[in-house]
Amino acid sequence: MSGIQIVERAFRCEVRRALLPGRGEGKPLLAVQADGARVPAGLLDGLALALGEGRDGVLVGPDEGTDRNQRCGEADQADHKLSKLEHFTSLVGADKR
Amino acid sequence: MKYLLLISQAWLLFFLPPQTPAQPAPAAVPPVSVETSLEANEMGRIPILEYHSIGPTEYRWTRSAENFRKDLEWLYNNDYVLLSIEDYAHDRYPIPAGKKPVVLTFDDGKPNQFRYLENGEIDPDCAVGILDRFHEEHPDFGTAAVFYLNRYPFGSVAEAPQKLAYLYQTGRQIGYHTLDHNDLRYLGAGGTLAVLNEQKKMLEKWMPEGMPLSTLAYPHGWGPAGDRQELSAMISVGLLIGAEPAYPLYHEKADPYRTPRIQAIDDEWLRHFGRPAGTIEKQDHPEKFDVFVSDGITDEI
Repeated sequence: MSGIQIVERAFRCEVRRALLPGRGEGKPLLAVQADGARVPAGLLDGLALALGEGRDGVLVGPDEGTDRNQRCGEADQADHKLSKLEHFTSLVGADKR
Repeated sequence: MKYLLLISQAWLLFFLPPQTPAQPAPAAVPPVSVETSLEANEMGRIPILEYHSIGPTEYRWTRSAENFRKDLEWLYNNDYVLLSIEDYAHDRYPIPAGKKPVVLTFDDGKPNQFRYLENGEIDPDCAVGILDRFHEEHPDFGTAAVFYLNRYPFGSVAEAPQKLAYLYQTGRQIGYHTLDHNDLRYLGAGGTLAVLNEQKKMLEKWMPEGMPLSTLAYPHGWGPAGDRQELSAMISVGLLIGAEPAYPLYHEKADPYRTPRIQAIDDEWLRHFGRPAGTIEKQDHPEKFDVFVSDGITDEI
């Protein structure tokens, strides 16, 4: 599978440094804090890395917001970044989780 | 909207023999109802549908092969026929009277859009395979579709000449999507033209003679900032990524360099067409917008 799935019609997410369960203390990773959204756990790292640390992202379906082209473009951009990330991790055999 | 044209048959009275007052009045001739095509509306809007991947499972940027087939069925059953992006870009509407044009676009040149099997046949579950099969069954639907390519057309440079030739022979088009899916917002119109020239040089190595190349799907839907008129040196239409039906370019509200599309996902089908997910049935006036209907006259609007 590639690409970010938008599992809700719209959700806001904040990318920030956080501890992911099971990673252990002292190994902070990027995570996505989504407001009440059902984000598949396996996508959290990918979403965070796709958006970049310190950025607030708004990943939305194409029917939200006043400038829908802009919003669709943001979602498409995130998808392309994640695709590149997955391509890279497959090349080096890394486990992105 | 369908309507019934009631044809009066009063003209028959002119051919009836003269009647005297003593004769009973002839039985009323019931009106004959003739179902005609949709009423022409060539100032209406045109859906330019946008696909990315075609695959076994539906995701945000992947239309399942099953749903793609249903999309085509729904369009066909609801009086749509395919219009090429080059015809749209040049105000040509070779559409039968009463029919509605729809443009199919595919971004990113994904392998699942056009793929050969090991036996050399086209994968029946890729976009081109599905379109070919549908056209065999519904030849009046047309074949047009445009593929917006990046550096590796359909994942294979080696197969690019063969695939582009096939697309041209079967009435499909290709367009610019930039070699590296570039973000054009920071390049300006001049920088965008440079990027397009780079891709043009590559595509021209593979394109068959006569194949047009005049449209651009902006990566992420984002074109260069500022005046885009300079783009007319290379392109006739610049396509956004969302999210409305498009006006024909002769319409005063049309901007050829900000031409919107509709993503072909369930939410958008419902929003713009009132189509519930997975349905293929004909609906009564399904569009939620003022839709273009051809008058069948191709040499004037």
